[in-house]
Amino acid sequence: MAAHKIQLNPEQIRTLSKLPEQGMGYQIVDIVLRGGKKLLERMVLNSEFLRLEKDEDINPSEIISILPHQR
Amino acid sequence: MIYEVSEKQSSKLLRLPETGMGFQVVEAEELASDRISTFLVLNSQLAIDVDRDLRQNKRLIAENGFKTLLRRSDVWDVKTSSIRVVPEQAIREPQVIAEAKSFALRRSKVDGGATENELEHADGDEKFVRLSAYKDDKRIDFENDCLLPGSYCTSERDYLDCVNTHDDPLDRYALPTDEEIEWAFFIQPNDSDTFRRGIVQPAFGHQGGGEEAYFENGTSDDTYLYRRAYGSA
Repeated sequence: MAAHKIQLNPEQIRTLSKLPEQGMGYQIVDIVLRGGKKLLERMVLNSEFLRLEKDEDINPSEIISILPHQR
Repeated sequence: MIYEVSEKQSSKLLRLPETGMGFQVVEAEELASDRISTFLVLNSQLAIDVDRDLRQNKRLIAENGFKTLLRRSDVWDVKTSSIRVVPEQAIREPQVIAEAKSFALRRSKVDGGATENELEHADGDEKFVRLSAYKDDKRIDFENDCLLPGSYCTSERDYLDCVNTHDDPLDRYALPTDEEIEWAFFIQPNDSDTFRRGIVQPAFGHQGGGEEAYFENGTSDDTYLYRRAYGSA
């Protein structure tokens, strides 16, 4: 599977809309999944689409927190 | 030094191929010294001495404007018959090509990114543009017609430069996507709105160089104007 993106749910989009962008139309975030797995430094486009790496497949409902990436 | 190209020289240049869109890198023999020097010629009108200080000369053009410098520049004192285009592979300083391309596309490397610069007030007239692959830009509050806090735009002027020079917006604004930019959202902040202005820095394998404006607090209600297809009037 090539790199792809998933659409986040409306609540997650609302959360992202309140977080700052890092450039026009994108945000870099750290994500915590249910079970504790972390996805660090991930790209979100239009506060709406989370870019996943190839072979990654998650459901937005598995996401429990989205925070701006901490360098 | 920056020189004004004479009509005769311009005619010769127009018969020679471009090195890139809007510019030529040429060699020519100086009348006074017989020395052969390399010049970056913009739009067959201005010749910039590459062997001396290209970056400083670029800054002069950026600060004074193309037309002003044309009026002020010395004549280009070279033998017209000696002007020849330097093949790209023979240009000793690849940086010259990069600089020339960024200049011809009216990109800049002068300032840092927006967040590094001072906060300024909008003047109430200047328009800004957000570019997106998506028709529904989530950073615009369509209920209150404003830009959400923490959002980036470019200036309308830079957007028009991008369109009119047929530049690649993904490269100019260093966007981390391969999706085509289809939409432009226009915003005209009030004079009570603040932002930081800067130049898009290289990122994601892109050069950047376009203008960016960061609206930490967003914009006032009723400042979002309209959406247009990218590149349309």
